[in-house]
Amino acid sequence: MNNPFQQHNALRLPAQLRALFPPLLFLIIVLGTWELIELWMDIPKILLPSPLEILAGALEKRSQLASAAWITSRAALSGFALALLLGTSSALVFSVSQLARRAVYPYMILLQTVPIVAIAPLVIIWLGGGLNSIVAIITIISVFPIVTNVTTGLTSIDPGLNDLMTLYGASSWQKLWKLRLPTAVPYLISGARVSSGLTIVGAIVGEYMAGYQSESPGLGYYVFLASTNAQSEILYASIFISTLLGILLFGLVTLVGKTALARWTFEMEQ
Amino acid sequence: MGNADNNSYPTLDQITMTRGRVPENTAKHAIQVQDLGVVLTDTVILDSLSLEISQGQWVAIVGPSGCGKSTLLRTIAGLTSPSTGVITWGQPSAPRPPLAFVFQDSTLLPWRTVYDNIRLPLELSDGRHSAQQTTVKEKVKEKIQLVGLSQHDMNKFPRMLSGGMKMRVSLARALITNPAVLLLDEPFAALDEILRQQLNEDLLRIWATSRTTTVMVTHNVAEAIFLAERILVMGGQGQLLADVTVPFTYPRQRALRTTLQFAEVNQQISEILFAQSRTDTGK
Repeated sequence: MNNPFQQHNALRLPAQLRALFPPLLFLIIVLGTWELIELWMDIPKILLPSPLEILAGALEKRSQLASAAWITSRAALSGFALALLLGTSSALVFSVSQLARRAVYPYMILLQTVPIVAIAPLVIIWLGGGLNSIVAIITIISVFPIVTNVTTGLTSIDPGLNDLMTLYGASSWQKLWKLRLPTAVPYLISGARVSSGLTIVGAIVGEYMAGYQSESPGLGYYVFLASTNAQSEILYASIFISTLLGILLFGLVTLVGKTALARWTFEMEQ
Repeated sequence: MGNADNNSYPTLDQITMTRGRVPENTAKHAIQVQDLGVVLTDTVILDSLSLEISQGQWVAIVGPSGCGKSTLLRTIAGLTSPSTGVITWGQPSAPRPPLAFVFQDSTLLPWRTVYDNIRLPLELSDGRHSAQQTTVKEKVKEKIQLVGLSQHDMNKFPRMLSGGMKMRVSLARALITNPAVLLLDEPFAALDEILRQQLNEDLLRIWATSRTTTVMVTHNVAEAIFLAERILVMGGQGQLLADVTVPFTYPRQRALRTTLQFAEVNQQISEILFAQSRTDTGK
């Protein structure tokens, strides 16, 4: 015999899926309104293509766009990996040497405010067009949140735990491995979350300005091409796909972070 | 006076109490503090403090907040450097014996399990992990049992434990090296009264098995009397106001707290602290 309560439970979606429902509904309403406005007002395609036109344009160029998305993701991931490596190692130096922290750290904070669009041409002059410049631009834009977060993490250790380590004669290395680094992990993850969103920004800026030499261009180059050729639907499709990539990378880092942080008491802020 | 009820406890006139000086102690000294001065950021915390603690003695230090009692403990532990004076261990040139320190906070590493937290001191003193893992496990198991935790708690993370259980883990970690000196800095201050009394009794039971030299800092006069055999009452800048020998023998039972003698010792010490507080506030 069927238990009505069981059936009710089976129909209930997990809380996380149910949380997706309101934003999805809103998206459908926006897209629907957009499509209807296009139908009624007949806006030229070059100014504002309708959602269906964008979809049709994207499907027509699906193989090129898919390959571009892959190229962009690869560049973004390489730059991100490099940023993690560089960011964590400079944070290590800053945590070990107070002199280095005092001398260099303020400039790191200042450099963060220099617009990436202004630095990008310099990088291209130094490294030439192509992947090297693109990865360098991604690394530059995404390294700072990691440096600042990990430095904070490595230097903000619990004084009680530090006393404990001192009491049992822990060496500097032991303190670093057994106290500082584990303390910094939640900070690293929240820095990486911020960085992950920036990597796609860096990738698009990089490809927009330096992607012309690549045989297989990324999404940023498609943005550039589509805007100069007035292919609005491809431009919109590239914007959507790059946004999606950003969300995917952010989600991936969050997922990895949550799994890693299961050991830590710290709860990640939303 | 009510001797009929509590024959095992001496009457109040048997309590020796000396004000302002520490009596000469002929026993072999485990800890000798001579002319200790500690200045932290231009503030004199301790000024020419001298005291001696015998091997195997349980000493409690009570005093108002900011009198320097925690600093004294930290200096004994080597966590704070003295500005003047020396601390010696038995013989003048004897090295510092293995110490354990229990902090007010349980100071557990949140990313380590109970087991990994308890074995930390062994791991730090033996960086290359040359100790047999099985021996370490046996040692940890033994201490877990000693402090009244269950084997099932070994793989739990600190966030899964209550405040009392965290303190027990902290205690097990302190005992894992079989220290020669146990230093306790208000270890149960954050716990509620019942839990505090339970842990007091467990601590006494554990101490009875090893008779480790123990120095404990506490705000709670009743706790000091229940646990220690000697109580040092401190005033400002580490000034010793009284050195009280507690007139109760071990083992001590919970009922001790309700006896008249207990209340009288408590009152004597409290009076000294009250008098000091009146002097401090200029009344």
